Amino acid sequence: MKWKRWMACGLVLAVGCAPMQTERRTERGPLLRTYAKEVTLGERTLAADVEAKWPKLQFHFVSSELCRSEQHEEFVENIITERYEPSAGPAISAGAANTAVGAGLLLARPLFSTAPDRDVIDREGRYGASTQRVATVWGVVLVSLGVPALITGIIQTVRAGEETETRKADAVVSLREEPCRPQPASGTVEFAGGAGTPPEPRPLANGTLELTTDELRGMSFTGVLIGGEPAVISEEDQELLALFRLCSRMLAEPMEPTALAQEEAEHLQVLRKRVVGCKALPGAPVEERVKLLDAALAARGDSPEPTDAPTVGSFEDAVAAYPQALTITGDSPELDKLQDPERLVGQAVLLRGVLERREGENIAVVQVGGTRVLVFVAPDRLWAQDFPRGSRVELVGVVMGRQRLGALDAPLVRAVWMRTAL
Amino acid sequence: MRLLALGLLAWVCACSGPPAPDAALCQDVITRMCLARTCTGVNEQLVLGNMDCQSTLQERTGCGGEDFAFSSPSRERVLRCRLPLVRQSTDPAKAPTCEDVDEVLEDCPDLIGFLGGR
Repeated sequence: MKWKRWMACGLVLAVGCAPMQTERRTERGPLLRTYAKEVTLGERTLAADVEAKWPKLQFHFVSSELCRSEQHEEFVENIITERYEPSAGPAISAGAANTAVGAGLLLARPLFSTAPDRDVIDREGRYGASTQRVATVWGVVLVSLGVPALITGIIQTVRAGEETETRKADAVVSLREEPCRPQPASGTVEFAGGAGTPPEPRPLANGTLELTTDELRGMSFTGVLIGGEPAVISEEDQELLALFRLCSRMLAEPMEPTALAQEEAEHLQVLRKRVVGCKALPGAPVEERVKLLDAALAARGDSPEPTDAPTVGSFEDAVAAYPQALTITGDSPELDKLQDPERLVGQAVLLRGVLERREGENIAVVQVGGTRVLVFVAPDRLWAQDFPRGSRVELVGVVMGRQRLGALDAPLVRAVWMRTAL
Repeated sequence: MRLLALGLLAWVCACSGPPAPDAALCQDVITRMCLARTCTGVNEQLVLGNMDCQSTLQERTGCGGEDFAFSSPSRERVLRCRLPLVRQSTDPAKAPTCEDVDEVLEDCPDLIGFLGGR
């Protein structure tokens, strides 16, 4: 009986350490909550906001701490441990087959002959084993191999499975560094970056520095500092500062109707555009100047571009922004309508023709079929390139009426966008 | 598991029956020598001439009877001398190679003498 115990122990040892493959994966579960967390980084920033209140320009200096704003998500996390053994199935199959055949051989032992095989004498001078002994040996061998494999397979199958551990997890989903806890800065403002000697430093009043147009005209600077630390000025505010500086000079210059009457129409158009640009500054006195410029342009037979004209960035934009009442080409029936342009004043048209010649920088003569059309081309436009003579062009424009140019009396169209046509 | 399999394989290979009696062993040696009769020197050394090999050698050795027992050479010596004859196979129908037979003729003059040779 003792040997049976030892055999059992051996079997247990052989199959007890049956290896298992383990796979561990983490799956994200439902979201529990979202929260924000602000962490102070211990650094400070200085920024200046620019505010234009004609005739004054205010710099509001703000000193802030630098904070990191973190957006967190708290969610359930499932850690899934999967134990499996791919050989468990084959082990059970092979083990069961071996055990069945081995057990069958052992059970059928009495059916086999006990007589030794007298046809063969081995190297030691012994007869060959009897068929019963051969069956016994093979029976024991197959059972010995089959039973452990079967038990191992069963244990592995029983131990296989999934185990899920649930825990709470936290993840940072966004991170942003931004100024926080702003407070008005104090101290003296220094100016830097301009041509020549920098302006004298000026004290701050409640975090604000105020400069008048007269003061600003005499100052040259690109940046401002407090206590040696440069203040950050946004791009928009830098543009506002540049515009305020430009307008403070331009609007201070005297504008006389007699002097304007001597100017070229092209120069007047450019000047008008600049003056109109100063409308972006609240309170800037531009209306009077615009009227003077419009009057000067009208006296020269030139029409000011409407200030409320849509801004276009391409030919397609122009087609979309100016719905065309007419599309006029050399062979279109609408061409006849150009014989009476006064009836089309203010209407947008799409013209296709051949550039015959340029008259100065701002007038082009375009031949559309048998009709010549004068096209006003604003020289400061992005598209206003030097179109070659004889090239096919197409343009979106607004009919201005009839215009005489030397001996030519033709319809006038203000081009919104012109390009070379294919 | 591998050790278990190897152990079982060794057990299967070691599986055999009871010891064969001296008469059967003697007849097995005669059978194998007769199968190698065509090898050079066998016919001459065993002085067989044109006689029937099997019956002649059985007659000389007297191992045709059931109660035969080895005396000189002993059973162990016969077994040792028989080893080259069963090197290829223990199948009694399979002839040993002439090299193996030469080894017996050279190393076992006592066995050749027992078989009535010179």
